[in-house]
Amino acid sequence: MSTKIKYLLRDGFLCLVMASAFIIGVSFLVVNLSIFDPFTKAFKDFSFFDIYYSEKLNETTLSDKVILVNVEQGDRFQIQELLRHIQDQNPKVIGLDIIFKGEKDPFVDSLLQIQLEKDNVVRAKAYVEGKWNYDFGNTQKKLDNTGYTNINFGSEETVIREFQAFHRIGDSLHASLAATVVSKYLENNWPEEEIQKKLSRQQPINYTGNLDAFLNFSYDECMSLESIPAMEGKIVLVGYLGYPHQSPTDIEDKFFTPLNPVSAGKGIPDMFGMVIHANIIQQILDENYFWEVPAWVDYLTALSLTYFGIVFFIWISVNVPAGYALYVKISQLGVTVLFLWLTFALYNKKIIFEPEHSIAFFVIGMEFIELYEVIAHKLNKKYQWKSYYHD
Amino acid sequence: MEKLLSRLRFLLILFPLICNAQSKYAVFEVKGSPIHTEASKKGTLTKGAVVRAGEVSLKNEDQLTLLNNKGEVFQLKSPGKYAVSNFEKYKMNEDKEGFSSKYFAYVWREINSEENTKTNTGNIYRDGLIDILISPADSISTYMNKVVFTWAPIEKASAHYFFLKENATNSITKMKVEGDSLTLFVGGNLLKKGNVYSWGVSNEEYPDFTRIKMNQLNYLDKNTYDTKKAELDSFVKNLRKLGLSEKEITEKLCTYFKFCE
Repeated sequence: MSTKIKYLLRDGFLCLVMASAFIIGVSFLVVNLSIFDPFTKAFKDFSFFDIYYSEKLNETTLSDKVILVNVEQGDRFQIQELLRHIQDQNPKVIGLDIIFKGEKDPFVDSLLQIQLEKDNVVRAKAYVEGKWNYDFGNTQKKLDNTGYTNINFGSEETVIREFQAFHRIGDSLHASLAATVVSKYLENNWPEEEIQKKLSRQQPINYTGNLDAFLNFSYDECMSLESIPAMEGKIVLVGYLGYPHQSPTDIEDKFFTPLNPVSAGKGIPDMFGMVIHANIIQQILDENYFWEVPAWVDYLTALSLTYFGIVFFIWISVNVPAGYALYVKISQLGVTVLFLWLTFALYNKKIIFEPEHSIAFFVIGMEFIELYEVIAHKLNKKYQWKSYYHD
Repeated sequence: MEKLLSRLRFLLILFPLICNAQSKYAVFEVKGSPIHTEASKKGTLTKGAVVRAGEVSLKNEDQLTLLNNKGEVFQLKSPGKYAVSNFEKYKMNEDKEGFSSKYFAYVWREINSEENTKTNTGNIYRDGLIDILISPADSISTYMNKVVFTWAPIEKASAHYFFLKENATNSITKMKVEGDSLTLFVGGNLLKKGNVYSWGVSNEEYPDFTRIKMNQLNYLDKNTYDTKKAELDSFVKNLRKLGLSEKEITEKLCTYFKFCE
């Protein structure tokens, strides 16, 4: 290997070290200094994967297994009538995304309790501020017919991108509403130990779609139809989908998801909690899980791409100086676009690769070439330090 | 050998049956009133219905979206008759635009800064009331022993729901009516003289009352009726002098003084 090439490779490495030190330093400052809080918070809720859903790069499908029914502003009496009507349609499982906290009218409560205690009904509970909230009559608190409605635990993100199907609190392993519904639907042949272990960790949600991806009924629609054969043998989730039905301006039990058309900046919540549970159920039934590329692969890709980029552009800066600035800008744009394409293409194949590190390292690394050249010239002038620029 | 042949024969008989196993289609979305006919049964398809065989007929503005057991979507949009066995032909076009072309179209839009501008309007909308009521007109006073309520029928509504609210108690009576009028007679629990009522009509059993026009009806008792009549007596005499017939005078009183006899 000639000395010139040795210098080129060494210079590339030193420039990469400089750029990395800068990136690490800035990241440290951004994360730790409170003055940067708004900046940090603005980026905390952003993920490139949101573009994948908001721009509808995924294939659109409809759910054939989960049906949603809206209770709107119905009182307990109306809800028990609704449940009785749904039971008449012979669904395999009814999942309730409602917690009837505390007793109200003894007569109406007893009618409701009859419906809630049916074998195919999965009741909701919620873990809030260190304690469980249950229905008024859920005295047995059985783990096999009560699922938690928490989508995740201790998440700092506002956008719902992940779920946790199983969660251990103390000695008990609790299952989510979605996991309990699936378990009943598959008649307790689920989950296998391996799946349970996997779903005890946060998993990315593979969204089927918003409300329009599921057969859904308003309270009146459901009650006015004498028979709804589509419900037979299916999962029927009962909960809140806005009042009036599907109201886009009603934000009760509504969350931000990657499907929000506004992927960055301020918007309004786009998905009702029950639709998120329906998406999770559909994902579990379809066994559509993601595989995440380990973080070390992300960093290795970022560092090697940036290193070869720096080496190439140092060579360009010396040999084709006229076009250097233009080529650098084009490469920064090109690498960003291509890396996002690669990320989404992998996501399409259920592989999660985080492109942020590679894009950030490459773009900033390219900007450091000129600074490195200035430093190399100064060192050469003062200490006769040899580099690719002087050999 | 004979046993083997008989088993083979059995399988040969079953084979076409297995091949022709009926597909099941659930109605996912429906616009208008598509009709499903199977053998001698005929009925309108509603959301959540399941069709296995027979024929579906669509009129002018009818549309039907169906879903099969595999999650495939089928869409019938044009008027006509469709055999259920031929639904496969109407499979909704899968997204033909590939992932890459969608992605680069997005990049192009971002580079061109398309869709980046917004027009913000700082106001709210209140939809117009559904006003189909004909008579009695709003805020009229009457003493008649029977009240005929009439309205313009709502297009494509199979039935109308008549709502009568007693304003003092806020109690609402609901009646399903298959037509465009309803006559109520004084007495019983429904209409009592001396009460003020509001009435309205909807094609929904549980309507949004904020969107329905309700007419007020002042159902006068004898004393109020006599007082009101006495107040208008001189006006009635003047109209008589002008040569108006009794029928014309009654109409004028009803139109201008909201006093309908």
